[in-house]
Amino acid sequence: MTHPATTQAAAIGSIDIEKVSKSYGDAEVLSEVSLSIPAGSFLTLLGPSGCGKTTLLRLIAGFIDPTRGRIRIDGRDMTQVPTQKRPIGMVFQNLALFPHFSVAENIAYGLKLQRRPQTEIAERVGRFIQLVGLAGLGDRRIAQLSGGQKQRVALARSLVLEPSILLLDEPLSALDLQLRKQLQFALKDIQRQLRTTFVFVTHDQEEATMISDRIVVMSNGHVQQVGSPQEIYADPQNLFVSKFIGEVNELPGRLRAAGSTLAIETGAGTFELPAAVARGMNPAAGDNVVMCLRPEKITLLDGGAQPGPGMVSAEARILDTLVIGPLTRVTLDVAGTRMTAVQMTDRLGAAAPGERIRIAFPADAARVFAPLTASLARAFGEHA
Amino acid sequence: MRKLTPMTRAAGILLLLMLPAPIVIVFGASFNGTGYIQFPPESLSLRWYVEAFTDPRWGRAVLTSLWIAAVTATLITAISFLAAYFTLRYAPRISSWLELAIFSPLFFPHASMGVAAVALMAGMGIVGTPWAIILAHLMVTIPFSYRPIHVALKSVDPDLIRAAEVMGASEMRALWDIVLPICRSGILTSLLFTGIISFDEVTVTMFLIGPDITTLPVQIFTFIQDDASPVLAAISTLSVVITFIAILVLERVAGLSFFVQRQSG
Repeated sequence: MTHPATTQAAAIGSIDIEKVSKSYGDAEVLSEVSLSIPAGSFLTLLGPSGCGKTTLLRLIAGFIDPTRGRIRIDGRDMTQVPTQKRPIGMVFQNLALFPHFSVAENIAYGLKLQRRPQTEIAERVGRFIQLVGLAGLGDRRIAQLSGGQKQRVALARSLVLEPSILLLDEPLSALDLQLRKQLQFALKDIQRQLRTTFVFVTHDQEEATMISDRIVVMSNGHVQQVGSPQEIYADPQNLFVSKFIGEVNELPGRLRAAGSTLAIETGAGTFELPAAVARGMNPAAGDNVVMCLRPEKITLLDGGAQPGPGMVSAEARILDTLVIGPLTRVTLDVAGTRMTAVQMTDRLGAAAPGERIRIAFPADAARVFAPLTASLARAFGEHA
Repeated sequence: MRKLTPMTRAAGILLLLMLPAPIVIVFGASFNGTGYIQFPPESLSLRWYVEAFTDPRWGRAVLTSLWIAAVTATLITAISFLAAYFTLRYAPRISSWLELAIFSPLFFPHASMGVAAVALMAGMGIVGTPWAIILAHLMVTIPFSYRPIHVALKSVDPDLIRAAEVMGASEMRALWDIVLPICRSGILTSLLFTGIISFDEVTVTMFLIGPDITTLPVQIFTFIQDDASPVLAAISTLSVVITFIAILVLERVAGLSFFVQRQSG
């Protein structure tokens, strides 16, 4: 095997994607994606279907070649390296277990290709059957397994070869919710034990935030934002990310003034916010913008209570309340705009549907974005 | 389901009885003691079987037909497998055109294919050799080979091959270890049908035989023009038995399911 000149020493298990584009005919499914995946991280590629996440995974695996750009693994350029020679493992969406092999034969296949001695194969297969929690099922046929057990075979089959990188293409999407949750924790646990780099593809934002160290939000072939689950949730850099992760109240409006404070005219009234809440845009008077507010940032003011310093308030009417254990969802009508607030149930007081109240939120908790472009809006089934 | 009227039931039973009737007649006639083909037999005798086994022309023709059928079935199955695999994986768009080309032998009368084959192979200088016959049989059998293999391959998830490749298998290794075993029923169907077709083929083969080589069905056809001897009934019975044994053996190896196209893999 040849070793192309590695200029800097890169950690084993790191991936560098450098301005990678992929087109099929005229259709560009990935445009100039650059991304650094540190060794040992659990990174999720998240986005709606058609955003390019699976294409990116297949490029890393080498099933397809980039139209432009370069992918490095462990610092080595992979352009000329076939799939077989890449230090990767993969768990496929439909698992791709070999139906004519038993559980143990599936797991042993890669080791047999490497012509490892019989005793070593038996030992390692046994160890990984244990690791994924399938002890005693080695002789089973694939058709005799449950969905969750098949998942575990697919995982063991890739991990037994000890790849420095494991690619997972929506492996949990076919399972029911309960099993999904279980396997999400199992995956995270195994990843921590082995310190293998996991690159996980999903369209489920809840799964992504639960499972990963880092999330890459993608849409229309572009990376929208990279960050930890907390960063992505608390500080989305554009409206797409804000809408895609978690729940958000959207108030479309116009900037009446933009200086150190932004004055935003919306259907629910005019709000004065610090200029620092604008993301991914240079606010100027006259711009169409969307003001976003997470439901848990809204407080319902009791009786004649005054909003605290730094808070912005508005008139509202309660439409409905829904108690979900410790939290209550309150549906509000704010000057004709429907909004949702999430409150601690025990602090809610006597809020009843039909009641007129005041709501307040910290001015710096709101976010102001440019409206979605037409192509991004399509990802939500909206027409801009 | 609607209940069958006695009339349709009777018609159905009659039809089912008609299907094996020629075989029964040939079978009966082969044990006839007299010197002409007759059913029911007048007297019972094994003399025609003795003649079939002692006349070296028959033994040679049977052996020739058997090995030509074996070579044809193996070659055409391998060709169809590779053609179907690589088209499905790398050129799915031309798949339907290729299928049309492959099925075209079904639309041509065998006699005109015989003429075409003799013209082509005379040019190659191989008329009268077994290779001419094998080449012609490849042409005749390809639709019957390609179809079951194509269907079997289509049901193979392409990610299975990618999974094997990620684990380090070359494409050929993945074909051998993963795709081939999964397509076993399609491959056996192809082997069986093309073997039987090759073993039975008369029309095209007649154009290509030579003084040194002839196949069993052509030999039977040539023979009957001179002499309607009951030895032909004995030979025919034997060839039915050979075909039947082939089916039985494959049934034991592969299970009956390979006769029926399975819905899913």
